[in-house]
Amino acid sequence: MSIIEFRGLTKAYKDVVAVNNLTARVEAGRITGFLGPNGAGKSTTLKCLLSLATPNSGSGLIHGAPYQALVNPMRQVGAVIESGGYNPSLSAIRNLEIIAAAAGIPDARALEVLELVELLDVAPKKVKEFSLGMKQRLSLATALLGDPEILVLDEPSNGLDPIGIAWLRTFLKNLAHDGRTILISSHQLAEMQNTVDDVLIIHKGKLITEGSMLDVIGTGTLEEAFIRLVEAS
Amino acid sequence: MRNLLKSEIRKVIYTKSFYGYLAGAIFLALLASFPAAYSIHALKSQLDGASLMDPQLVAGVYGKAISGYLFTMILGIALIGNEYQSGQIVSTFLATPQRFKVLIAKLVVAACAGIFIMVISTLVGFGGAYLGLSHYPHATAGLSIFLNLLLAAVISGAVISIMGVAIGALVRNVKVAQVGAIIWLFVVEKLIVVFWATGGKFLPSGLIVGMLNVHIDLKSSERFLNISTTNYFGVGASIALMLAYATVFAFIGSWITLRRDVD
Repeated sequence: MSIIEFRGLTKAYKDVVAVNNLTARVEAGRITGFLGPNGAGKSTTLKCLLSLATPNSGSGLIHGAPYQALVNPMRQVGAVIESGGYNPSLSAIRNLEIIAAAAGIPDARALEVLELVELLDVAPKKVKEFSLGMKQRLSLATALLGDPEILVLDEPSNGLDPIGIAWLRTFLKNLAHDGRTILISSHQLAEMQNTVDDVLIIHKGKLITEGSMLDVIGTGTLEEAFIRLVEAS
Repeated sequence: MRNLLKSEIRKVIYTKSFYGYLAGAIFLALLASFPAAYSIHALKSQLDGASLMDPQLVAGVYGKAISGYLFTMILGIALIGNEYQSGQIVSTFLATPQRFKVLIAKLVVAACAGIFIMVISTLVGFGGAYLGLSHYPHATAGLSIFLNLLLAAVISGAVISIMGVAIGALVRNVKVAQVGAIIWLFVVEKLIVVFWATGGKFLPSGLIVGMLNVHIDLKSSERFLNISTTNYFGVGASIALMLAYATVFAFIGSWITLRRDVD
């Protein structure tokens, strides 16, 4: 059963078409890698899905409805978007309390999610003093505030060191094990091969393949399949 | 909406800059009000008819207590502009994707915060004016100036912070928007009042004077010292025009926020 769906999604900025008639589905209870080179349109697609950007045509749907139409969306969808989501002058806990209030989530949950991402010790610290890895963990904590069944993660491993990447891999696997659906964009192919069940690959805004990891890579690696598909498109 | 208001209130009270804006407004109010009586007394020879025996002029001195309104505009700009600049707007819109609701909550909280800043700073400024005038025992003004000041503080605090939110939504760079607001309120409006007195009464600062119901007509050989508020709007018309400003700016802010993609 598909839980996230893109139907002919097109988004252009002036003369540049960032996403071109994208149609794809994300199945429930699986980790789906949303892959593509830099500038392929991954972030734009996810922003359209989350109603942060308005498509020129088509739509991105969650449970068959646009994100804007979801009732209490943070309890259904948790998201990590590249541009952040917090006030750097405030502490981690204050940032989470602000978001929790908007979503009608009790403040106690902010401490719980900080513990989940192993940031409880630095909860009173200002976000501007955080390393990139800590900021990524805080973004994940934000996404988990509403304990959602769906996670949409845009490049969550950006800026993480190898230990951080290994931590993220285990963390995502545990989340998926709980039955969550995860859509994760990345261009770190080796890492994705170890993490995701299904892949969507886009290039220059167009979908070039979708399917299970095994179907897409065959007997080779994800990187080999990716380069072959991108060059052929 | 209750959740959103709670979240927006937290954004204001958790941020140190809010207390900085309050301190700034108090400082400006005192800077304008405390020495005003002395300035008028000192410039008496250059200002034809200026005397602290005139209750209208004394009311004008108390009127200086409202000078902190600049900081409510800066607050309004920061409330939305900083969110876009830092990316915090992402989580705001993820929690509440109905942007119109977000903007309404922001406008309500900006207006309340603006009123808070203005009432506090105006009361302190009033105290400053009172102290300044205490050296001139013959200088008296009626109770009405105090009531008009409070009314003007409430209306201007709400309206100007709403204008700030709209400007913050319109101009993406917070610093540029804030410096632009300072230049507009401190330089451009003052120049308009000096060189085009009839136009001055339509500006927010002219409407604030209108709400104070102070009628002063001072002539000087130095043009920049001329002050004439005799043709300014009355209290009711000034409030109506201020509310019209708030409506127009709130509409502009909503229109931009609804259309704008998050970068």
